[in-house]
Amino acid sequence: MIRVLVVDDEDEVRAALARRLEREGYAVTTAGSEVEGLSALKTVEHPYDIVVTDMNMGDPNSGMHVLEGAASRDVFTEVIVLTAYGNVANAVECMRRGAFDYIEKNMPGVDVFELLVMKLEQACQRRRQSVGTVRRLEEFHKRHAE
Amino acid sequence: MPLSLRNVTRLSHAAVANWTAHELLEHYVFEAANATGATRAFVALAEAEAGGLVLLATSGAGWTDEARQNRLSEKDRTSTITSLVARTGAPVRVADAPADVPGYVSFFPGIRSVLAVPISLERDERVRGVLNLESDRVDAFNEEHEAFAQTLADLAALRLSMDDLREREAALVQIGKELSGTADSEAMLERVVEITSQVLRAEECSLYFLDQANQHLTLAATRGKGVRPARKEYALGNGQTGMVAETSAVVRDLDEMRAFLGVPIPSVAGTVGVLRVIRKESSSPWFPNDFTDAEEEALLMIAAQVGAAMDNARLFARLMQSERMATWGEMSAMSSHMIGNRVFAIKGDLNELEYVAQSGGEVRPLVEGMKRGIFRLEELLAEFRDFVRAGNLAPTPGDATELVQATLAETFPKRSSVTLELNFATAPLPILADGAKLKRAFSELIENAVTFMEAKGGGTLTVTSRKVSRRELLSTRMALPRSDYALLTFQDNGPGIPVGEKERIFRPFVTSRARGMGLGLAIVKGIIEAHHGGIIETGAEGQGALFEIALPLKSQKGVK
Repeated sequence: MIRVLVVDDEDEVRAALARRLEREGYAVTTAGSEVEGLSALKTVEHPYDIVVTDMNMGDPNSGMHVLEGAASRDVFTEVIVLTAYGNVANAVECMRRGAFDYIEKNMPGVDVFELLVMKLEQACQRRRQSVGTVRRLEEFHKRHAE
Repeated sequence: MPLSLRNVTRLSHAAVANWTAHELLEHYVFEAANATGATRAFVALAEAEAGGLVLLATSGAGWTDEARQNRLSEKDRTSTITSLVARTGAPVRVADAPADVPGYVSFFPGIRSVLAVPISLERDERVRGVLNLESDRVDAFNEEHEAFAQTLADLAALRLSMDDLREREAALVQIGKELSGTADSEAMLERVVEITSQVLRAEECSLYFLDQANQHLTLAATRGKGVRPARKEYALGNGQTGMVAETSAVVRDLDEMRAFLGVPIPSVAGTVGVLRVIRKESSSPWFPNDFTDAEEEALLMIAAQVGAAMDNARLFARLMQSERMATWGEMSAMSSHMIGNRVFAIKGDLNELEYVAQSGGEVRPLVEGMKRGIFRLEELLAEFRDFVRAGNLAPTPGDATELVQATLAETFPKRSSVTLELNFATAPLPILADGAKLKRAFSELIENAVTFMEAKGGGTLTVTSRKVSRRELLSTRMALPRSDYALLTFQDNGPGIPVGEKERIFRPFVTSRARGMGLGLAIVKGIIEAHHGGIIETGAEGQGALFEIALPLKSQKGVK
């Protein structure tokens, strides 16, 4: 089962995200703040496959901090950043630093939850590819060493 | 030898000594009679209010109360040598009045010589009065006597004009204080016209502001006695007052009815109004009641002060505006974040609803969730609106204590673990208030206190009101202009506010509660400041919050 961490400081938002992703069959854990999110990333036994985090939780760079926390735990964890509509600047910065993608929460006329599900699938795919590549690389090294 | 150097020193010292002008004139009249050997002497001063000469000091033989009263009576005004000097400003020396002056009727029997000199600083200035010497002897006064009398008259004129200037200076300082100190602008302008009419001895003083929209002058403050009331409005260019506004130039005029002086009120944006004074024409034909250059200058100075005060007020308003604008940027980011999140959650419910509707699941909880979400959205919008509108007031006269009592009746819960303790002023606390807005502010404080105390199982909310005079240092504590204030306090024994947070809590988007945008206390502060008041929090952390609100008391003078 693919394991997802959802970090958002709004109760209703967190609940809505968790509900939708659980419907898709993901195992969802939630965190209500940047601090909670970072601590969940650190303490969890097996690293999360995917992290969905809000960009602005009091601090406009909260999302960036969560991204860094996820990467330092496991480079293969894919991170999707949620931003306010029209506030793309720091989301793009997140992409530069390795986030899988960003989603504007209030994109007019778009069912963002469906968009999120789609992005999550893509993220899972990329993660599988990355992990697969690394495995093949490791096997190659092993064989080479033999 | 009347005009010895010693004499001059002594007499000029007297002019600047610590005597009243009246005492000085008494002294000079006595000295003049003594030095010239006159039978009697007197000083008469021109008084605008009396519309002519008023006998002020007398010396020598024959003065009775009756004589003093009648000496310058109505019939005397046009015919006497005194009024001639007052009219022309030139001295008169007559050796034998009954023989030399046609139609001369002496007031005292046996008068022959008369010497009368004007009390005036310069030839072209209006004569302030006359020093009059009379003698039973023929040809009693020589050139030297005249020179001596004129010296005394000049010294008296200097002293009188010095007094005038001092009085004017004091009035200008007073007006400056009024303009910078009082929060109640209506009362402030009333004071300005009151002082102006006093210092310029005008029967009427009115202040008009130019309404830029319809190009009309509107009466802002007026004071008049014995004249018909000032017109409420003038079209630009209409009448002398409208003329001042149209041309931005001084209008000084004298006709049979009245003397008029109107000056523009200058500001950085050009003429913003007119300040005018009117004097009734004096009953004495020789005593012109027109305004002088010095008076014009004084009025221009007052108008400049009013204009500067208006510029300051505008500048202040603009400063507040730009502060608000800075908040606006933060505001729009913050509100789109908050509203965006609400909408995002509702969209989530909607997404789930579509799925559940298809799969035949339970729809009810989702509909309830969406309803709650939309209500929360509406709450945010209301809070947002209150914050933006905090400064838009429709003030009417009210009473601070009554408003607090009414708010408590409406918002304090009927059943609560919180008890209420009240200590209100017994005397009225009249303020200019937008009742609905102030109630909104008070109720925020009451609800906060009740919420925090109920969360910890109860407590006491203490609400007080009292008058605070300008001598108490409340205005300094709150950085407000010196004035009398109504002080309202709301004290609870909830958790209180940490020292470092005492100012921050009034900033927008600061909240310790989960709900809302955190604009509550920012709205309160906005409303109080729009009332020219102040609010501070002075409670001790751990012992509860204490909010102190100062609202300027409406001075009774301002009440029409």
